[in-house]
Amino acid sequence: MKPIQLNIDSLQHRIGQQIILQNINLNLDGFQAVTVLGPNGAGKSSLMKAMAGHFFCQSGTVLLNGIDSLKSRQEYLKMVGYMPESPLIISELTVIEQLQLMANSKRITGHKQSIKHVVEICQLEHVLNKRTQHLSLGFKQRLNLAQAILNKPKLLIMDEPLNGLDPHLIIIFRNIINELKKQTLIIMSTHYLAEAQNISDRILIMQNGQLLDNIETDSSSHQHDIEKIYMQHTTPVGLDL
Amino acid sequence: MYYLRSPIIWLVLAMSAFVSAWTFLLLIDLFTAMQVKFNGMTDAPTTVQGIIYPVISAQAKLLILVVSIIAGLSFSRLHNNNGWTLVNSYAGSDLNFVLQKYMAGLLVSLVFVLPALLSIIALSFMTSMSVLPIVYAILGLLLLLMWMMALGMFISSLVNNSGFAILLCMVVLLILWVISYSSLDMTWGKNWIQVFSPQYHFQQFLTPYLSISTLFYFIADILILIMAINFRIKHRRYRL
Repeated sequence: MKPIQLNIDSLQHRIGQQIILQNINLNLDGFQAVTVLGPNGAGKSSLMKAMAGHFFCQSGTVLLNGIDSLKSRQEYLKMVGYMPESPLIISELTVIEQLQLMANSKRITGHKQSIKHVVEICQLEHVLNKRTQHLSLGFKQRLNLAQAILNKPKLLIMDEPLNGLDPHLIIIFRNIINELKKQTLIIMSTHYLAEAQNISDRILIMQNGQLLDNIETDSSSHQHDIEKIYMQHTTPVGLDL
Repeated sequence: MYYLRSPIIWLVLAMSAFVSAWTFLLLIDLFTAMQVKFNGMTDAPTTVQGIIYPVISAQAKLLILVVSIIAGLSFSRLHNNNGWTLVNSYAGSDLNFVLQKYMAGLLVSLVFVLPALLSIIALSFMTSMSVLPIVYAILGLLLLLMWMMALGMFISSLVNNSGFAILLCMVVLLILWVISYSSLDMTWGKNWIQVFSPQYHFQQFLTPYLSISTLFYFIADILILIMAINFRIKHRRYRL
């Protein structure tokens, strides 16, 4: 398996006076799970979209194995999987049809095999012929993940994948992520601090569009108290005036 | 093609098929009844002028409704189901994506004009009509459909709300249609306002001669509008 390297250099974006992302610099390599933490409005989703190649910032670059997300977009997208916060659901389609549509969209060759593989990983066998609009939230999230990993991405971006899931599903997701991170660089955002600590090899903390801290969770001699660090760095929305 | 699973599309299809069939039969009835009056006339209308052109004109008017729904939903609907994720994940060129969506929209719309087109083709086989004017008329209808679809999809790419997009498409297409009827003072020569209307150009196809400038109007407009949609899609990636 080829190594993976993500380089983010001076990423910046503003909307009028509002800073969305401010001078983000980040270098990640190897297969690992990285969690981005931060209060609402910290810029997590914007950073996720920028890394997924779904959003272009006003300045800065995102390189995956040296391939620019803006200049070589098509090539970049072939290496990336993106699981958005709210799942893509085309209500008229069944689960299998939506997976086929996404496979065509990602231009995956031999997509029958890929679909079979993701259906197995995400345990979607029983709902394959069900209309997507009739799925429960848990299955919608599994479909969301299945679509993201269809192209066997080197970099998997997951924007708040645990939102609204019950404890059983959180455990299933944790297992899936643990399995995927053996051959993928996973970057996810979440508000669940305990899960972040459980799943991740590294934790990034964001506030006001800036990356404030970059903590390795397994190499240090003592267990980091993520909650304490998080509270030190961030202020709740509405109280940072 | 998942549009075809929406009940509203089938309702509109049923209505349009009914209107097409009814108009067609009504025109044949009228034309047959008037044969006696035509007997003494030197410039009596031909079957093409009496039946085919009115049927195609009725189809063109019906298309305003159909295209407004199909094209209006095309991009605006992506906001409701997070469909922009699909667009942004597309590992091909944006233009390719736009063209695929455009072709799909055209294909669904063609289903609506198919009953009338089949009736016309059947009639032309069963009678001895001159084929060329019929071919021009059908070509005109197809070009009009392509033009309306391109404009509708461009409008849809500008709007975030599906309902508003459909309404806006309908209003714009109707206004452009109606301006061809403007009776502006023509003292200074041509009425230029009319020239902007697709209806004016479509009428050029309901003659036995093919107008090159009209062909250019439709083809150039379609290309410009497709490029404009492509630009909109690219531009969206700079917005959150």
